[in-house]
Amino acid sequence: MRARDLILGAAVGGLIAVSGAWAQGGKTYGEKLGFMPVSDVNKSMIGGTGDVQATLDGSTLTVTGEYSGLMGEPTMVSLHEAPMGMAGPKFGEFAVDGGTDGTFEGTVELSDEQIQKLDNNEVYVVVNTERNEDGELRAWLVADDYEMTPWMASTN
Amino acid sequence: MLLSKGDRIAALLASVAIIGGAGAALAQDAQSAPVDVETLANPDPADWLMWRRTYDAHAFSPLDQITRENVQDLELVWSWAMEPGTNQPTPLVHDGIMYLPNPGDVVQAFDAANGDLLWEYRRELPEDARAGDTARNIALYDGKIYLSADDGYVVALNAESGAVEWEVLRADYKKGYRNTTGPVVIDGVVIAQLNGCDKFYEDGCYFTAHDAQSGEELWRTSTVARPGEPGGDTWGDLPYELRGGNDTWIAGSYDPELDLYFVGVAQPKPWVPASRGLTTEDDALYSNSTLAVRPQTGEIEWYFQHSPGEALDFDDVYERVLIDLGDQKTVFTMGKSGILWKLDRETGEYLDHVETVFQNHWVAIDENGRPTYREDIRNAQVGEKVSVCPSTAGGKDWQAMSYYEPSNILLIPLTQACMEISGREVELVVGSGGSQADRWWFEMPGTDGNMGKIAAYNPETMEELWSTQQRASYLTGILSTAGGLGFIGDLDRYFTAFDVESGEELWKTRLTTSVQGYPISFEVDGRQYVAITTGLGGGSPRNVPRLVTPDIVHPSTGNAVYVFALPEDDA
Repeated sequence: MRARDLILGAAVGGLIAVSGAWAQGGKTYGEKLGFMPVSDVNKSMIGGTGDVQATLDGSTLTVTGEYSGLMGEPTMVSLHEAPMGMAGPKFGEFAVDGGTDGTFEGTVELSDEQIQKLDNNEVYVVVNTERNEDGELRAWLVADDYEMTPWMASTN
Repeated sequence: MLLSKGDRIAALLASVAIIGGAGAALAQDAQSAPVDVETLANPDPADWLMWRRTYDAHAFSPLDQITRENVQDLELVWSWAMEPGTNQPTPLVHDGIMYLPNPGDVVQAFDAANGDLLWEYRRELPEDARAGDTARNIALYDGKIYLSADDGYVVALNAESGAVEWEVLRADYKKGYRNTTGPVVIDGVVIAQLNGCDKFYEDGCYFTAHDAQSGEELWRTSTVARPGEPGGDTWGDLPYELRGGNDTWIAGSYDPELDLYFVGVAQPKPWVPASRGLTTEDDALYSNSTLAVRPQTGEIEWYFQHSPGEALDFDDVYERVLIDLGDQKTVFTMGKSGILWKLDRETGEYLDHVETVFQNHWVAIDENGRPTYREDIRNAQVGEKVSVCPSTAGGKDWQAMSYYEPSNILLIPLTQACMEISGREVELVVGSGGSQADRWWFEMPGTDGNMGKIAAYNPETMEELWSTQQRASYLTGILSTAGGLGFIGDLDRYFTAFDVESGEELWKTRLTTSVQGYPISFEVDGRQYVAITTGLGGGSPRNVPRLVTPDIVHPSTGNAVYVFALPEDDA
């Protein structure tokens, strides 16, 4: 394990503790941040790792996260709606300051329809960077009590 | 005087002879009792005579010396560096002798208890042949080793010396035909699968059967429905020579009572229907199907198509696990789609399915087992990207499942990753073809970036009993043993034993590079051994983690075989 990962792990632990406190105010979501779709063509542009957590309090979604090892300077965090594993339109964003290692925090007001999508695990977060306008890292906001459910049962 | 197996092999080693010969360097005779029809049907618990040990592909060893209680005492007994190339092999063991297929069509025989080399066969391949492919399995029967070679030949070696007994050409490597899996022998018939069918040629795609004694080709069954024949209209108006794919790149299973050979057929090529000039409504038989074949004639008794109208490289080609549930004879299989299928193996009737990893490609499977693709996948044209789970690494890939017989548990190695895929324009002319799609991969949502998963299922109820997941991909089949253990290896160099009832990790050791292949267990002179290979190379199961989990690193050399056992005092 690299030193950077150890530091990130410690940061993640701290934030999980914080989000646990926030969880008293609403439902919590989160997931590891992974690469945007990557191939041999764009792999030199994609890097890093991180985590995202989110808490819904009424219609206010508070999104926090941390990242490290980005290949480009972060520009913003955007929120999108799409079923797990699919791509969908952006409906919110907030700015990110800092270098290729850092943290972010922002709030987004959700409509009733977007709250329903969040409840269905159909909202994802993208960390956009200068080198990756379509994003470098991504994670679905998956409910903390998520268990894999059969897609066909849910679509029938 | 009675000699143990070890003593007999030692005596043979005392008379080492080097025998020259075309393509073979022979070091030593290796004598053992011949494997016959009865032996293959009912193998000695000490032996591992075929790819998944038994015709029903359970990959279950009845040996129980190594248990949950003592597995932490396992120690390395011997190891051997293997040839470079793609390495996903299955060692075979009979009567204390291990037979090991290496990349590049090198086969070696060892004293299985100590790793002494007994003989070696090294095939001379044409310079323009695609040498260095894996040989996932070889076959043993009647004093011979059967190998499907990289140059299109099926080869029989003398099991005592490694000398070539016969060789028969059955596919043209210059057209891309090749072999990554070996034969299966049924009642004197050597059935040899084929892959490399992705280019458009008049030869089509097929698998062959040969007389075990002479190599004479007995039959050749096409895996592509021809125009004018049953199923021929499932490829639209495409002429036969433009119907690509449908390889049989994994060995099949056999039910002696039904006298049926069950083999999977891979996807049509190109992968995306629009690239083929077809739609998802064009089934492209017999792609992505289970075939039930008469081993003496090659006649297809029934088929079931798991993924009609292939659009995502689903590759329903993998192992067929035969399980009797009460009076019902079933066959289980799973392709990259991540769907575990249960069929009636007497009739091919669909019985049940379960989604084992997150999938979003099919929206329904009807009462006959026919799936419906998501709308954007159905409508995808050349150059249009769809985002889908799982990816071309599966779900499930060549890493085969095991059936733990004592507790009725199917143990399945799985991969959790997703992809965007976009079909390319393909010129529909002879000599063209190929997979022809661009892909971009990503971690599967809801997994926290854990790509490797082991899941245990009750085959009767199709309920998941337990599952575990980890960051590193699993790159071996699963072995289960009567000691209540499962064995599996991963990209991160770990070879692990777990409790089959709970998934709890009980022992692990770290090897020189990624652990890849098919673990086996065998016994010599009362001592139980577990063998596993490290390996490099391969398709999506290697390429997807290389891109999506680059934090998992390993040396770029290190193909080898490792043999473990309890300390001799404990055995």
